[in-house]
Amino acid sequence: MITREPQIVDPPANTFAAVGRALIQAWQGAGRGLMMLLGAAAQTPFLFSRKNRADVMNQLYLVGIKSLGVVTVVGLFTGMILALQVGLELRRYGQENSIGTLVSISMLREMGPFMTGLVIAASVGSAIAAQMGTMTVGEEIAALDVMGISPLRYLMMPRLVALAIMMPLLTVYTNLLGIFGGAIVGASQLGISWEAYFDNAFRYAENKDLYVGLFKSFLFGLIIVTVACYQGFTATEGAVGVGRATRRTVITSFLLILVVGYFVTRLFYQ
Amino acid sequence: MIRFENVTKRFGTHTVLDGISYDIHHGETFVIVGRSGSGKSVSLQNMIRLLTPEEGRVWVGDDCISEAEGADVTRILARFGVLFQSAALLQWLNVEDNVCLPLRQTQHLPEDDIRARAAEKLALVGLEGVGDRMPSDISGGMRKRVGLARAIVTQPEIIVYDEPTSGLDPVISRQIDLLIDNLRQRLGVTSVVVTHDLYSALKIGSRVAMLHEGRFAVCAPPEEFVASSHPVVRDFLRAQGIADMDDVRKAFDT
Amino acid sequence: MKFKKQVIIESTVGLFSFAVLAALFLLTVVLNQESLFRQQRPVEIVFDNAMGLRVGDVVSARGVTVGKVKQIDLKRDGVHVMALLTTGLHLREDYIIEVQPTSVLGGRYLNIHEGNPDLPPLHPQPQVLTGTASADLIDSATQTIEDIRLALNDGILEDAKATMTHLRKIATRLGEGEGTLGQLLVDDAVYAEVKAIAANLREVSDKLVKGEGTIGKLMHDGRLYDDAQVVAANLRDVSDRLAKGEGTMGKLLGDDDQAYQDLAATLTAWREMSEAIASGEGTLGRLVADEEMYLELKGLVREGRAALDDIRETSPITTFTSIFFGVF
Repeated sequence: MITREPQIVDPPANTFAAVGRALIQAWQGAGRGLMMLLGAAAQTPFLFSRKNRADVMNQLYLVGIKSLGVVTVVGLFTGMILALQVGLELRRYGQENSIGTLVSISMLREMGPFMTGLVIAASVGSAIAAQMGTMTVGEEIAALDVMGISPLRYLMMPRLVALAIMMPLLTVYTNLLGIFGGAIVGASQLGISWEAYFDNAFRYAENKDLYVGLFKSFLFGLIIVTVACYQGFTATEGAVGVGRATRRTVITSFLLILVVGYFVTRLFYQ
Repeated sequence: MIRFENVTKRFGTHTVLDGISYDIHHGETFVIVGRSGSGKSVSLQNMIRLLTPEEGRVWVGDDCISEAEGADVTRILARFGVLFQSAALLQWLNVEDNVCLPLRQTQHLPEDDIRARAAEKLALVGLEGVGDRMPSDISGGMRKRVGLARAIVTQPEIIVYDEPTSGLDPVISRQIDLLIDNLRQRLGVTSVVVTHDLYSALKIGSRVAMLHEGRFAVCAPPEEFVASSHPVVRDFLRAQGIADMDDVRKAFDT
Repeated sequence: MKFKKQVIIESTVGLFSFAVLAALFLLTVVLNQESLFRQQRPVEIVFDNAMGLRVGDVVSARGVTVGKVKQIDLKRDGVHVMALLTTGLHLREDYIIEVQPTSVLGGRYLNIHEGNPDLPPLHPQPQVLTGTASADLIDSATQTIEDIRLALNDGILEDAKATMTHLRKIATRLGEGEGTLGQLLVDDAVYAEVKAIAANLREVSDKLVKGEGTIGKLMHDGRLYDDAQVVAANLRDVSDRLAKGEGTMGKLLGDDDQAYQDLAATLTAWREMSEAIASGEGTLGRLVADEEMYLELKGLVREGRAALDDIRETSPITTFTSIFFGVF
């Protein structure tokens, strides 16, 4: 049962108790979120079962296709801004030809997964939290539990699969658009030919850069769906609670994306 | 069928159920009434394991649902059909898919069978031909009936109604009450109803229990309930303008 | 209606996924810089020092990118660099493989000089090629500055100071009309003779500048300056001895007028001789005019240099000059 009865405890005696309780609750939340992630992951073998196939497909559509517009703009402009800022600086050393390398490496390693993660956390993550939160306060989650339908399987698993698949795919898309955006700025503002730009862009970037980035975005997908579902399933107190769940989802996802992004980079590039 | 044994439920320092004990017999309609915040919904949520008591036990047949774990909970809950206060329909599924949902997700039946059973239950609650409508496009009363159709589609032994008439106008409320009574007779199920609407309670209940301060003030068949001299019951009856069973019957005659 | 919508959703998701996966595949191939259909030739090169070369750096031959560094292993006998080449190389015996900086900001590439095409090809090509340690731009500049600093501290400044002191002494005595050279400055007759000699010398030097004749060739021969360094070293010795009044020139600076008389006579003879040289007469004249003697003289100089090497005492100056000429 994913629905839990409310934990009602006495107000903390003093500041230390409040801090301690907040820490314990954060720890508990992390543990429960992780258990939910594992529970939903355990349901993935039912991905193609008749019961879940349509839901999975719908979520793939929602996450992947419906986000394409905003991801396109974000990817393109991330590359353009990178190229412009770095290009103007490098021009002082007569090295503006290297922007291809800089844009492609920073997009592949960091900016692609990171920007995609932020966009999806803000759009899809908040939407999942709001939907799950509304369902929680509207007794729909409880109804599913009572009917013997696991919300982890029926609601979380399709979203988990959708984000785990679509985040890396969207990141590839963002990367390509970012590199292309850099080329536009290179050609129009810095006077670098397209050939020189792309030659530079792909000469020094490695497959490691690409795939570590994709691994990161896969992790970001798991983070977003876990945080969003956790916040949604634990929402209380009606509309206010739903709003709070949404806000916490965006904040927590952003923070975790930053921190996890750092540690993955640390792990692969020492 | 269902037995509460000294069930105590507290929220923090506030005791909602104070060592309450009662039996619900097979085939009867047990109605719990009470004022808002008296703990009648809490009592019902303990029955379907949305809450667990601090003390005491809740039995469903021979199973202790309050202490069961994992798959046992699911097995015991399969004997229940629950109509939630808000009907709890999934907003992105149409009426038919909502009714089909428990069958599709929990049972291995051919799609045609599922649809046939859903159509049958929708007909039973008086909703033929609305299968394609979305929950947001139908009225509150219709939504409750869809919720009811969904609750009975798995052919449960026990149907639990949480405030079935709240938020509905008196005419629709009476229709719902008749539907509940009708279902009990046709399906032979045990019903548990939580409501603050005494007309419904007295009309459909085999026994009516009044919750007050965590305990039952009165638990008796409707005629005895109306005749009770308990001050809380008398206040409650007076507030809803009920002097005797004739007032209830009149309400349903119109 | 509902069925159709689901089909549209499924097709869109499928299309997007396939498009992105295709792009991912292409990107992988492009980033690998591996041609799927072209054969790759592995080459192993061992360096003493990889100079910051990294996996994925470019391999270049004659300015053309011919491959990529695939793997770098630190082994007991050196740094083993595995490179995958897309084309075959025509290595000669004097091939050079070195790590070069891409730009001042950093980055390295592996540069392959295949060697002199006139030499026979390297056959069979060895399993492991040998890389040459190459100068790093910054490192070599630092080394040069360090050498100069050491040389300056270690003798040159002292030498220069001593030389300057001697020169000042000489100049003072010349100004006072002392000694033979002093008188040279005040005697017009001698001046005229010296002028004539100078004119002849200019003619000779013009020839030298144009690279005519043996000495001209010598001056345009790069190896000569090594020898010139040794000469320069000896010059210091000479100036020391001059100051001490030793030898003929020393005596010239001394008080004895006899030497002046001798010099006047000598100069007359010298003028005759320089005229003869300019017109190609006599041995030295031929040296200036005759190119065939160049080779003989070259041999002579080489022998002379070997002899001088043995008695080289002024290594700081050698270093300094080598740096000086090395820089330009």
